[in-house]
Amino acid sequence: MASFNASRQQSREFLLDNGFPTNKDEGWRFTNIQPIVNQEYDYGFHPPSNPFKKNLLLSDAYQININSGGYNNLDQFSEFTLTSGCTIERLVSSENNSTVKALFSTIVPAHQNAFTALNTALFQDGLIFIVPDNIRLDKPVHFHLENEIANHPTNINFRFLIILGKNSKCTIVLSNEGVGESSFSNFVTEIKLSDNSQLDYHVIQFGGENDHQITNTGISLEDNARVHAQYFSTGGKTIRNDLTVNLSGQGAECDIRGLILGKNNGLIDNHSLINHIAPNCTSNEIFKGVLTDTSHGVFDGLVTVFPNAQLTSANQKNQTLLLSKDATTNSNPRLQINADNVKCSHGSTTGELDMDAVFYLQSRGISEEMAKFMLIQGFALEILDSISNESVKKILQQAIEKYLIDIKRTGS
Amino acid sequence: MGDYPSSTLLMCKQSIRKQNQESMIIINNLHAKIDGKSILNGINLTVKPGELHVIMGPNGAGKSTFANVLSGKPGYEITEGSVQYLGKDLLAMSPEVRACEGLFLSFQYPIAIPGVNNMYFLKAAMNAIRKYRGDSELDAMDFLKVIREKLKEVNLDDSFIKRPVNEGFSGGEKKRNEILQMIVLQPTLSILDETDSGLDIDALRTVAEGINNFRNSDRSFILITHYQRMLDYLKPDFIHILLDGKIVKSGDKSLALDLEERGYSWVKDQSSQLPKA
Repeated sequence: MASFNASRQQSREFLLDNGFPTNKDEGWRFTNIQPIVNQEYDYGFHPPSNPFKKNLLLSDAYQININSGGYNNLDQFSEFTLTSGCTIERLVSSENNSTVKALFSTIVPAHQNAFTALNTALFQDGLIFIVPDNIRLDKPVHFHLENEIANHPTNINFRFLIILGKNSKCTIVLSNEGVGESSFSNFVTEIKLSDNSQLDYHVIQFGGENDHQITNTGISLEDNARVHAQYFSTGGKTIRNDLTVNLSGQGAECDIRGLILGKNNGLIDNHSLINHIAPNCTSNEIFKGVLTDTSHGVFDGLVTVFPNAQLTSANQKNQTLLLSKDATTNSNPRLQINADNVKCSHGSTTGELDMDAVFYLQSRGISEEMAKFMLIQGFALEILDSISNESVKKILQQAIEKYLIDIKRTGS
Repeated sequence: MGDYPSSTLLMCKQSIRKQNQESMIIINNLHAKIDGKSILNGINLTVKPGELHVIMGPNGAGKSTFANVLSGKPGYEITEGSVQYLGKDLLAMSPEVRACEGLFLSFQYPIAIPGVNNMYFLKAAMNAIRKYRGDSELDAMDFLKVIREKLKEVNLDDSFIKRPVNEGFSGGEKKRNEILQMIVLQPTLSILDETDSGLDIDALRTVAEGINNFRNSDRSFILITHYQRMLDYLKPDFIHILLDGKIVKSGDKSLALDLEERGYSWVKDQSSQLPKA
């Protein structure tokens, strides 16, 4: 690996040469990033002035708070290391760490897109989190980023490098609660799952009224490794997630689920690439969306089956519920199959509330308003079915309820 | 002399009022259209408490439209006629108010509701009705007690209430779920739209027993069916034949047996000889 400084310099040059994408670029056709890039940002550290909000506090978890690129609880790292048997370190001081040298920018290439390059050029800091072989954590590890309300919009470029050793098991929650005016967070997360390891990975994005959140995530799975990744995004001005899953080892499995709850004029965009590289791997992907007002949802998913990847099983689904006539969705599920002995399916549905179902509930005494509430809630809750951590599930259930109450109040 | 007509009028009024009080529902000259097409062309029917009326008729006669209009399904235009239910104007009520007033429709094709489990759904329905009537709402524990007992009556096990409403249910399970909802919500007037179709012999018996156990002198039923077979269990009071949106013939149980044997053509022949209204 090149030194951090060399990487930063290369990415800076890449950005200067290529600029930011426009809607003429495939992959960004529906994603207007002008509000993000036409804004000046403050890159300085903002030490927290207020205690952290508790909206996203898990009841029983190792909690690591991140604020505008800094930490409020660095001293907790050593305690965490002692009790969990895992290690966690700051990225900026780990340039010579052998794991960093081997993996930095390999799972998510620095020049995958303009935002990965921006992150590589400007990252204020990051975390390396390593679960050693055979360690199975009972409590989730929760990384929580909260944008400080500052006088000036801030841009946070933050990175995670997560490695699960052989036969290890862990639940990781990465949450981002935007409160800052026009703040812009840009995360790069690189995850390596060794043989037989198992990860439950949650990305929870509560967008503030005017903030922008971008994530680029790469997950690489070795033999029989399993990941259950769950994206939950609501609010915000712009949320864009890019996820690449490489099923590189035989028998690896991924279960990717996403729920977007759009309102006002927000954009929530999920792009995913699932690469079946090795034989005998399984992927299931489902993204659901509920959109109201003039919000906009995008799903673009490509599942590629490599020539060698026989006995692949891949399912991909996108379902969107439009609650207003001004809400829009673009859905683009794609399959590219280069092997002959595989089982693959994909599909996409977009629709309004089923008025026959509303009537069915009404005919049992339930008011029309309550009937609609129950139907939207039911549609959204299905995506949480497979979450094993009750505390995470509860937070998401509450967020769905809050969204439904919010949109009821604004009469949409 | 001047007193005489007015006292007759009073007697008439009193007699009408008495009749209204005794009747569960009075359907008078009901006409309805959907998408501009006339489906119901003047239905007259009065049902008294405790009675079970059966509506039979060929496909397209308007049977399901009749059930839908009574339960308030949107999309229908009522062009003429009135419906008095327990002395109130039924057609002025929203579907949920009709349900809260004790009207129940068992759907011919129950709707699947993914993501909403039976327990949550039934509890919400039961509490909405209790709230309307000024009763206290049941908590989860009390509700569970009620539902467990009712599940046994329709031969369903406890896991049933954790499943999403009608999602992935077999035809028989869907119909049993309708009957379960009926005995949980305790309506005064139940309209059962082809509750017997799609059932095997055992499920038919279970459903019929569910209805029979629920029958009493205060509750009435309008059962829509194509077949005589469920009537063997249910002992109806009246059979009505619906043809082109009108009741053209009424009788007792033997009418259903006649139909089973002879089909609808003889009724059609008879009714075509009737003078047009």
